[in-house]
Amino acid sequence: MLNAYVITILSLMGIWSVVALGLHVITGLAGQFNLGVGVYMGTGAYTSAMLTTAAGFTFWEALPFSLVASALMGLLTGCPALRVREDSLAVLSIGLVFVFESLLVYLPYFGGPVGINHIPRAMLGGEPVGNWGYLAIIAGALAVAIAVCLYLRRSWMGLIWESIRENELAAQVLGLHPARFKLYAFTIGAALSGLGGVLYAHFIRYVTPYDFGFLPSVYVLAMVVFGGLGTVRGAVFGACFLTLLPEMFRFVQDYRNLIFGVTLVLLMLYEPRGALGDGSYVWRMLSAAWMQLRAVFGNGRPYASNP
Amino acid sequence: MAGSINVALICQQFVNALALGSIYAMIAVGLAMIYGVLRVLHIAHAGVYTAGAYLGLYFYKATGSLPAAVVGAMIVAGIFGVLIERFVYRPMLPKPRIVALIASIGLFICLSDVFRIVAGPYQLAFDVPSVAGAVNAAGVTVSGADFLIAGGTAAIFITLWFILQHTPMGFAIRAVAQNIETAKIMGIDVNRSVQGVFFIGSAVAAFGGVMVGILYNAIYTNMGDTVGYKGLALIVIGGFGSMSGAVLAAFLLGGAETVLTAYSDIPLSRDGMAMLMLVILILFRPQGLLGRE
Repeated sequence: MLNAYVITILSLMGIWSVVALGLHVITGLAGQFNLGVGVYMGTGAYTSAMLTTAAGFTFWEALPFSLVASALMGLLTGCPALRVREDSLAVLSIGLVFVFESLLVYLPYFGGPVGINHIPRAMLGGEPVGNWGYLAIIAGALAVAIAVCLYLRRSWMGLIWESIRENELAAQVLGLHPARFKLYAFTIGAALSGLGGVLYAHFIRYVTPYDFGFLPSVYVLAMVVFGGLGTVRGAVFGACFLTLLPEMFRFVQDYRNLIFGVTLVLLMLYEPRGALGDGSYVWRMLSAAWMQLRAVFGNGRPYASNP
Repeated sequence: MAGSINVALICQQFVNALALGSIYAMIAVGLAMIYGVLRVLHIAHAGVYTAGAYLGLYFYKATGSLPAAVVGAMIVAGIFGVLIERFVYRPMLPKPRIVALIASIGLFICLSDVFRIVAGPYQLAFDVPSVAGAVNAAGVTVSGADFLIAGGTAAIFITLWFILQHTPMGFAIRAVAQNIETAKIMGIDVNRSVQGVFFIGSAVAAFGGVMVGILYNAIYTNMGDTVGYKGLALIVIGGFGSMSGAVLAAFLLGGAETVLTAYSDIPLSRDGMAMLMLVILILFRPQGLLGRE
């Protein structure tokens, strides 16, 4: 039986998956370290929240503006990536997320430390959607995000990102323009994370600056790496699992962060490619099982045993 | 009359800036050393710093003597740092860089929860009667804790300089920081040098933690957070792995933060402003203050 609690958990899993997919584009595909995804998520959430509360827009009218706003934020914060890289970039993104959070807290325009509340529900067919309807909207957004990521991976852009990620100098020698494609990655990734932020804002229905600070950003990075950096299934699995983990350990309420931290350290020690990343134990087993299955329904022989 | 008040105010700000800069320097120097040898962004250093503060309080309550508490906290935190290196970072070195970064974040999250579970969620007071007094001269108040921090920082950095420049251990550490493979070929025990770095860095951070606890008379579970993040930015600004650069950047940040908080009305919190300055500095001088192109 699906009660409200289960729907809430499922919705949160979907929302964090969308946010994680945004970071997957920036860090997983294009290889740019980012510990500040909260900036993009927050831009999307705050734009939508302000447009729907102060300007009287509906959820659907505000959505394109929010996506454009977070994409522009991605473009803006992507510019430093043209000048600094790797660890400097990671540290820089930490700095940016603090500046962002601090701006939201101190500019009264954004509602200050208490943020914005009374964010309206999404409307569909003239009436507010219920929990089920919103879950369906989240599922739709997640499907779109997954499709975009899968398409990007196979497109020319995805290949160029891969070459930049693996060896920027070599990509440059091949006549590719790393700066341009890094900016594309930041813009697209930020728009996806912003989409997650919009969904979050209209799900929780109030936003505070602290929802998009450093720790949430780090959680998203942890999700992407946990599932397996560079894979869509990894980002989604990581987001779902790490959202579920605190719920599973609700009986040890007091030790949730402890368990979270220990899980991350242990996974990095024993399975650094992520739980479902390419070449990880679970994924190798799953691939092998899939091959067996195909063989059973195919010509009756596993491909591997062909001479 | 107005002039003299102004001078006193400026001197007061100078004292504050110096204390703040010393605290930043103490956390940044450990981070810079660790980055220098392992190329790891040691986010959990903030946890070690907080652990140092709690340990200092514990030893102070147990022994009643401040020097014993400081030394005890430094040694235990140093050993803790060595354990982190041995069991978390060392197995991860051959793997991609992001692995160690995520593990460090995980460690940091779990450490702050450990403090909460062990010491309770409430702020603890760090009352040290022997440094509680304050000297008031010409309108400038210098608390005993300020003196302690200034003296302690000077002593720490002179010791550090001596260790690094004039002992075989320091020689090995500098060699490893320059090139780990060559150092290995030259017969230097790389693992021991790295452990030395973690011991020294963690001990200095613990010293900083105890000092901050005494200065603000407060110890709480996430006291290391912002200092730790600023420390990471400081080592970038100082030029990665350059200790003198990191220390210079720390004092500059302490000064700038004090001045801007006092004399500007930028709508940002203290930490937000510091971070904004750090971001701008990183953008305009990505190679660091003392780094070369």
